[in-house]
Amino acid sequence: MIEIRIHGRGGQGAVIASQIIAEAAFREGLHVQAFPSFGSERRGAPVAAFVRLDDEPVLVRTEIYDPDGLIVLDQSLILQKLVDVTQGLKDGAWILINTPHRPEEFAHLGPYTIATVDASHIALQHRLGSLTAPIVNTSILGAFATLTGLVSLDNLGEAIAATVPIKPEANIAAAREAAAAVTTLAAAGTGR
Amino acid sequence: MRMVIKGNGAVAHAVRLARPQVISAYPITPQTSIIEGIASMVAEGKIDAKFIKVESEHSALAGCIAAESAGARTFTATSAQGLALMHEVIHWAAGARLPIVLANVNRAMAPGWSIWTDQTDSLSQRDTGWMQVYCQSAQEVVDSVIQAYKVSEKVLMPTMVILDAFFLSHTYEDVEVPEPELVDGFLPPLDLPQKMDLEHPAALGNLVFPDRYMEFRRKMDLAHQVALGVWDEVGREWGELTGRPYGLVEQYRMDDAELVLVTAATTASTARVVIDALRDEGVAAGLLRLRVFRPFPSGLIRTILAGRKQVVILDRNCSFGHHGIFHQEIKSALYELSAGRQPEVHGMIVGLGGRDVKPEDIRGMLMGVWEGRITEPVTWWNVLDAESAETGAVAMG
Amino acid sequence: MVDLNPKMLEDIPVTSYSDNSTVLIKTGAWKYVQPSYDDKLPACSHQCPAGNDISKALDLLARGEIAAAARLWRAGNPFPASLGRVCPHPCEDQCNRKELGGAIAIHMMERFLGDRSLEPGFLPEPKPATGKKVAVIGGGPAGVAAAYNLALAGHEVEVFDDKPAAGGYLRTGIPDYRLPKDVLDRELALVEKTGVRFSVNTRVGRDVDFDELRARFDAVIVTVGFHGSRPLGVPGEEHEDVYNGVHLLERILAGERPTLPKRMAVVGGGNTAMDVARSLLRIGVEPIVVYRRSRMEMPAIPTEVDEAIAEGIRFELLTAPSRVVIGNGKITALECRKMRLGEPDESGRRRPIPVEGSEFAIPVGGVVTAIGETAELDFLPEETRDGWRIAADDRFATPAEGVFAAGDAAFGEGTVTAAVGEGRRVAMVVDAFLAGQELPAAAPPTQAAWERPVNIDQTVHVEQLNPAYFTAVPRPEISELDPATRRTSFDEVVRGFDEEEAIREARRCMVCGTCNECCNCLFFCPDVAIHKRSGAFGFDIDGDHCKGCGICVEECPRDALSLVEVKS
Repeated sequence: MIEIRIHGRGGQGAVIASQIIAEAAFREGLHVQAFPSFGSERRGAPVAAFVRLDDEPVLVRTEIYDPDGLIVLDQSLILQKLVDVTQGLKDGAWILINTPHRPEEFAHLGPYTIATVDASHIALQHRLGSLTAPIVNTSILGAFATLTGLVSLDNLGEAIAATVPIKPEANIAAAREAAAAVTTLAAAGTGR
Repeated sequence: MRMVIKGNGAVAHAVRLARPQVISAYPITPQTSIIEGIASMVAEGKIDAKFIKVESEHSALAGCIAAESAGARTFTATSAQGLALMHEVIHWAAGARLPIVLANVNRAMAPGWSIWTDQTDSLSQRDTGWMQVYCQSAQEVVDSVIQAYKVSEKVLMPTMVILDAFFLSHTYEDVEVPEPELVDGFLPPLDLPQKMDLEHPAALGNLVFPDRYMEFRRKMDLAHQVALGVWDEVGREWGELTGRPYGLVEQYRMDDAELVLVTAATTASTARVVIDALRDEGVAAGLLRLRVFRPFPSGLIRTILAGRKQVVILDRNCSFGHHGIFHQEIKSALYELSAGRQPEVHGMIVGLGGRDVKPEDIRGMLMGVWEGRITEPVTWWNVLDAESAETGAVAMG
Repeated sequence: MVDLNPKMLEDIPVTSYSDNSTVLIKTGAWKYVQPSYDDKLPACSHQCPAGNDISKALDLLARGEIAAAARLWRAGNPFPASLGRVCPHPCEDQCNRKELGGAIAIHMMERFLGDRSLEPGFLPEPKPATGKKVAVIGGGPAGVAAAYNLALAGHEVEVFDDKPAAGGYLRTGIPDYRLPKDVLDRELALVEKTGVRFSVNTRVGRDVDFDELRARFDAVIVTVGFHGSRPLGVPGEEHEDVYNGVHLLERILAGERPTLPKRMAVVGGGNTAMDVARSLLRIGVEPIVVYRRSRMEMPAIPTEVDEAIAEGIRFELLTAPSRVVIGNGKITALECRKMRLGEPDESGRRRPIPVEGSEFAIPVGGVVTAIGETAELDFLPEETRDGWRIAADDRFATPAEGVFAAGDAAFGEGTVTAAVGEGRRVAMVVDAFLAGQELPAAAPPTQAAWERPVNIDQTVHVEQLNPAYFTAVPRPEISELDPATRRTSFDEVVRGFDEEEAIREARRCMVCGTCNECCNCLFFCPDVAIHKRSGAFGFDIDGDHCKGCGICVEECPRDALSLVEVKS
């Protein structure tokens, strides 16, 4: 079973991202579970969403405490230390960050595979969201597909089309662009 | 058709398949997306029903009662404070023998204000005559809502289909949603034997004198007794159609189990992982999942638990001044066993107000009992210690 | 049918359910009293001198049945459009709505329904011809009302009037700004449609002999009304610039514009005084009203006084003329004395007492008298006269066989509304007389002629209504021409209601004492003993089940039900 945690800010689409991953993995034939952090959220405040993927039906119905991977939609959550993103993260886990910086600059996070992609830039080029609030969730999932190999770009595209009500084509194009733009720094002794 | 939906979406799809004619509901977190989903389906013509927007949960159920009295199949959904506000008409629906189906998303009662899961809201309606089914997955939600209509309409008693807030209501998962033709074959249109009829005017809910009231109550109780068999039979029939059979309870690795965990809803799903692990470690653990809580399958539970060594009951609820409610009910079911067959019973109050019940919690409770570290009849699990000197806290027994 | 004697659990229904009707048990056998639909007089109709069926008409209007309401109002009253404009509406003073938002604007309702029924289609169907003939002397409101009702009763009626057109005081005494004359003309034309013949410019005693009329007709009704003001009884009143108010008003209303002094005193506090003063104002004379008592005692319609004050007319109250002051052959002033009020006199109003040494002069060039009027009765035989009045009894009969009388010359009530009511009542008496019936001791009240039965012995006041059913709703504003425009124009001052306003106002009516099928009795009856009549107005009470509990009577919002004793 693979457990993923997505960090973002209210309004960035963390919950939708978890759904898209679930939809895409479902199309890969996996059993899935996706859920938001339970509670009330407001725009701009740190939020989280979760995904479980497994070959077997997912029985565990608790929050995720020690994920296998992280997606961070907003680099400022790390840079400003708003959230301890690596809390509970398994050694050797992967972290995918939306940032213009290179993965090396996040090596201090720990013994993890760090991948970066400038999803905000890509989203803006595809006119997703606005300059003040680019919608980055679909773009970064392209990078997620490349990084993890858990879902194909085709299934990701279908999942986006099934989940995102507005501009599905632009979202899919952004995801494909980000898939090619991801930069990865593998931690020593880890796979994937 | 398989699809990825959340528990609340599962309710909406099941309602669509059950073809109710009147839906009357008022939004409340965490139930809201159920009626949003249904309202969209009604607006898109996917459900051919009248959707009544009301000003309170009391009115929501009153609307269902009126429509059902006229012979329409109805649906409503609510949660916590909303269910409590319905209470007066909750009794009415059962007393009037109207087979209404209601989805309740378990949410803790205020205060303190909470939107997270807790069974106290639904269990507070235990004695109203409504049947109660607790679900552990979105798949079960779909299947149970459809079954609930069939059972309710056979025995003329309303059913509450219950799902945990967030852990089920807001969690997306892959679910097999049956085709309409399958459900149409399983669930015939409602034909109430006794309904409002302009051609034959009658008084419904009229004054009943002491010489007759008990007979009506007796009939309600008999209906519940009949319902035990009907739930079983309908669950089996559903299994034949879909490959997903259901019973009143579910047993997991119970054959030779000496240490039995009893729980309901999503915690039961999580518990399986713990049971598997304990088995791997050589502990003879098993799980008894409560599904249909009303009617209460007392005899079945007694038979299953007779002769087991230890029983640990998880209650995401509490009847203050006494035990957890599942605990009370199971204990009373075991009373008729002879002394030698009586298991040792421990109640655990857990997960109130949405506190997560993690695998390690379940393991801790089971092993605490198994290894003799927990001896009290009731334990509040993972809660700040009581100042015994101040409160004079004693274990309740 | 639910089994009333179940032996097994299966014999009873699944839930409380009963299709056994209360019809099974006849609860009606033991009652001592039983309810009876009993329409009573609403306070408004009780006060209406013309006898209008106000509550029933307003109920119809409230339901939007305008034609039916208009037809009902015109059924016995030939002048709703005119009276709606000129009546002092005592009904509104008694309206039970008074404390619940303000009285219903009944006069506006009458005017609306009158204006909506100025076509022959709104006239009642006349009864078959009787071959009897009636002469009516005087074409004023009393005479025309009598003629209209007698013609509808099937008699042949001829009205004699010495003026070029009928209408009496409505034509000669009421200015156009209160009653446009085309409204009056159209109502009189409708009366002619019922078969009434008008012989105008015909003065009995001059152009036709009274005895000859008695011979030619089976009955004669004298309704000659008042003509001319009584004298002031002060020195100098024989001067040519002292005018009789009634005659001066008649000339102005006929379109004459006589040369008059610039300032004139109008003596009197009644409607004629107000009409004269306001008409003088409109032809450029400055009037000063001189009245010997206070505002409270003024007999004029209060709104007429309000409107006169609004138009800027000066009032000298508690003032009585003592001398017309003449210098160089011209009137220079009216000398007056201040008065104070003493004990009430026989009219119930406080008696004015002169204040010694309070004489003062009001500089005026002329005086108009409007202090009460007298009739001209020379043509009548001696035995039918009683001083300046006609000797008529409670039956409207005079000592002369077949001669009846009504209106101001007989009873001096002084309003056209009272005159219309008397006309209706004398018509009932004469109709009975012509049928050869013995006359009653007194003429029946106007309401006795209503189409629907009504208990005229009981009046519904606000205490008889069930307060649970009524809340305050404000009375609407009634719009008027602004006073500046009015001072120079004879245009109608008050604007009538449009259909929406009329219906909205009718809906405020509580329909006192009058069943309006609100169904409260039916809803409240615990024995389901009250049934709505199908295809007909009203309800039937099932005596087998009514146990005389009286709940329906208690819950009738408008006192249209009564309990009566059951004869065993």
